[in-house]
Amino acid sequence: MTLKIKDISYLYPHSSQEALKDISFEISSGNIFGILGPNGAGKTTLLKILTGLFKPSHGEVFLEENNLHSLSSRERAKYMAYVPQQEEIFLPFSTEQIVLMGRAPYLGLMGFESEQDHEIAQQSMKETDIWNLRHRSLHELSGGEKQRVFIARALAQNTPFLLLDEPTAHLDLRYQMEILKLIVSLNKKIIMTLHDINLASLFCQKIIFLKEGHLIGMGNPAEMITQENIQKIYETKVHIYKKENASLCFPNFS
Amino acid sequence: MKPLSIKKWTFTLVALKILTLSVFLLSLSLGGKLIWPFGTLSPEDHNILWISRLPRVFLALMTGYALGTSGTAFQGLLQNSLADPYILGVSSGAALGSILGLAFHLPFEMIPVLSFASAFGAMILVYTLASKNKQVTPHTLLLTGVILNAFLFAFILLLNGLVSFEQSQKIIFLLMGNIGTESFDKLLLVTAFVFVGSLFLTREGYALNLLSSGAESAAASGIDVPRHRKRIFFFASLMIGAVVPLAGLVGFIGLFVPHITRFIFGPDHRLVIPASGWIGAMVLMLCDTLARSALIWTSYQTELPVGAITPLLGAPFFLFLLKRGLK
Amino acid sequence: MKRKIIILFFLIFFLHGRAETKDYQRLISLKPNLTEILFALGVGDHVVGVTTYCKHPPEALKISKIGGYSNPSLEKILLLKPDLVVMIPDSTSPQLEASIRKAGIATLVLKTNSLEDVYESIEKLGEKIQKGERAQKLVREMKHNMCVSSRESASGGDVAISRVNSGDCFASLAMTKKGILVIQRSPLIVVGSGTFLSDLLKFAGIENIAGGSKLAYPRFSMEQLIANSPDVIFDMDTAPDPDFWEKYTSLPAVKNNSVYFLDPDLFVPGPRLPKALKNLHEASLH
Repeated sequence: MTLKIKDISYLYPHSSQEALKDISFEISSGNIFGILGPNGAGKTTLLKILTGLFKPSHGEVFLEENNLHSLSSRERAKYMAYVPQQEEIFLPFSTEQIVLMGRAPYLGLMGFESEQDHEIAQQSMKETDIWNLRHRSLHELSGGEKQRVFIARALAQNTPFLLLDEPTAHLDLRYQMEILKLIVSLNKKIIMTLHDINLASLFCQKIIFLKEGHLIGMGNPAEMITQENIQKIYETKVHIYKKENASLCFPNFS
Repeated sequence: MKPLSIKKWTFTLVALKILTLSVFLLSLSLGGKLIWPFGTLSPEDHNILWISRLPRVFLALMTGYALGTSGTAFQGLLQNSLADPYILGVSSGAALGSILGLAFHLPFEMIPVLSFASAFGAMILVYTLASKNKQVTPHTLLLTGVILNAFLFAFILLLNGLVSFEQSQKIIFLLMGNIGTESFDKLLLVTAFVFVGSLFLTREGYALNLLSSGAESAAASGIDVPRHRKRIFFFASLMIGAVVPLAGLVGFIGLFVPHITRFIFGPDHRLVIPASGWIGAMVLMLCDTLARSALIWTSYQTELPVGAITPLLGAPFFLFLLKRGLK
Repeated sequence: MKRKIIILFFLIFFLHGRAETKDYQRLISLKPNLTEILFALGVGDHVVGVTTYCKHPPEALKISKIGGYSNPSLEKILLLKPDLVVMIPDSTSPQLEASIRKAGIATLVLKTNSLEDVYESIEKLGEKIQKGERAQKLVREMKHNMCVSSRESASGGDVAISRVNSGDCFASLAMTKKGILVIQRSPLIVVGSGTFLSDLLKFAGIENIAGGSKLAYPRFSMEQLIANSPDVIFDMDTAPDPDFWEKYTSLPAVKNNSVYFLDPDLFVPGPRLPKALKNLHEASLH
């Protein structure tokens, strides 16, 4: 499935500065796509436009031939599943109940789930290795476990695309690696925003850089992560260290 | 807790309905005198049962149901477990309508109507003021509601100083909560509103689940968040606005019945919304029975205000549940 | 020398103000019934301040107002420069009284709950303002009229004068009917015991079905009312509502058309009580 982003601009209400300006790119080949950039570059905004939470002020997003934003939100939810950065769950729902909520786009009026829905949810929980946690309340789980629950929920939504906003934020290093390994093992087209350039380099097949709402470049990590680019985007001097297929950078202290 | 199945949902609600009916019959029989509704009755007993007790117990049922259901709905909508149904302007709206009616010497029949219009108007005002880009968030809704309540209440205090002594007494009874005997046509109207509200709110149960688990993910799963919020707010307000002009501000039930219901049945709103209605109905009927019977045979021979009984019994029980792990 | 000491002694005794009476010139009343009593004692033209609820006698309407029924304005009271302020003991009076005294103004607190209280208070007030005789006369008249009224209704016009003067004529009056005096219909608040209203009921020969309550104005149970089958119902709520009572078809009061709507304005614990009693009688005799 091809996702074409054409000339997207976005202006927040009551704001004079555009958060995104004339962004165009395509996601066709490859499965793991990363959106990088400094804080405030517009990464989350772009992701939200792709999920349908925001409507672009200008430009279109095409899923194959369909304009993504002309679909009903229910229809759209069958293509794009979203894992936001951090969510407050107000009530003590169990893990299983939360994962079942991923079936929402397919359910009827009262939201009663069918056998099939339960099976899909079970499958998702097994894939994310939380089946044994299914009766536990979310509050009781660790950061890494919680994140897996939200990913399982998005999985249960059974969509071709899985969009994640900073999936490793607030997680310990061990859980960061665990989550990313899990994400890339799923048989889905992944689009995720990432803060950490090195993790992106290790796990993404293609990345784009955003700065102040502009698209700076797109390519595979080896091409994109150069001293020049990092200087341009993050205004920092770095050393590049090539290991296997990854380009890792760390600050230049001199 | 296992996820909700249709079987469990149906079974639980049927059981609750039967239980409520039993409490209803029990409340009818109890009072100053034990009267079995289905025997042969003396004319006095007949009057007591059908003209004095029946409308009253029925009002308690309707009011308790409305308080339980809308309490749950508001707590879910506002993402705040301390919310009660009065928090978004009904209390001051309804009281203001009543006090204006009394101050302008409107006929008896019109006062509850004015009170309802005013209560409902206050809630619409809250929603409108809290809206930004045609959307509300729990935070703005809650703040706006509390602010408007305070503002309208100031008017009530001012007007209270201007009305006659007897009228200000009547206002106090309204503010305390008072289940009395009302005419059947008023009760019928209230029943209609509560029924309609309950039907729509139960339907919103699933949406409430999703809204309580992250508004963003809810929207991304295809839920029209603004539309659902509006609907929940509207129908909960309808139910509450209908009962308050007749029963006054009976406190505590709208706050603690949702907690008790969730404690017993888990957080799934598909079940909790209707279940808290039935539980609220039972609790209020029992409290009202106690209020009207407790002191009758003592040397005081007086009835107690039901608004005093509900927290008196509810608070210790609530504390007990908290210790036991209520969240 | 001895005489001087005795005179000094008496002066100290009186100046100490234990039972201070004076020819007060500027009186303020904080309750409507006290206003009526002051006028009945003949000092109406010395009254300089009354409440907005003081409507009897009509002369009171022209007097400056110091506030409403339960919220008199201390400032207004002081502005009128009274030398005596009369009030009844309620929740606001201790604080108010203390403040007025601090300003050097004399106060008098009079209880007017029961009929006996009313008689006593009239006499006390009379003493205070040096109208003691007039007060005693007023009380005698009131007692006389109350008894005459009762006798007339009880035995159809038979009046024993000697009994009447002692004022305890109702001791020998038989309770002919069961009744209740309703202050408010919803919620139902009635007259219990210990108030001038319950005393009036006794004088009218009515056995108060709520008389067993310790409270003056209990919030009564409609069920109890129905169960006790009152023969007569006096309803003093602000607006008459016949439909309210008509649905209770088992009540003798309803069956015999004995539900009477009274004007609460008349039933004030003061000099008009005999008139109020007459009103009760006339109502229940059609």
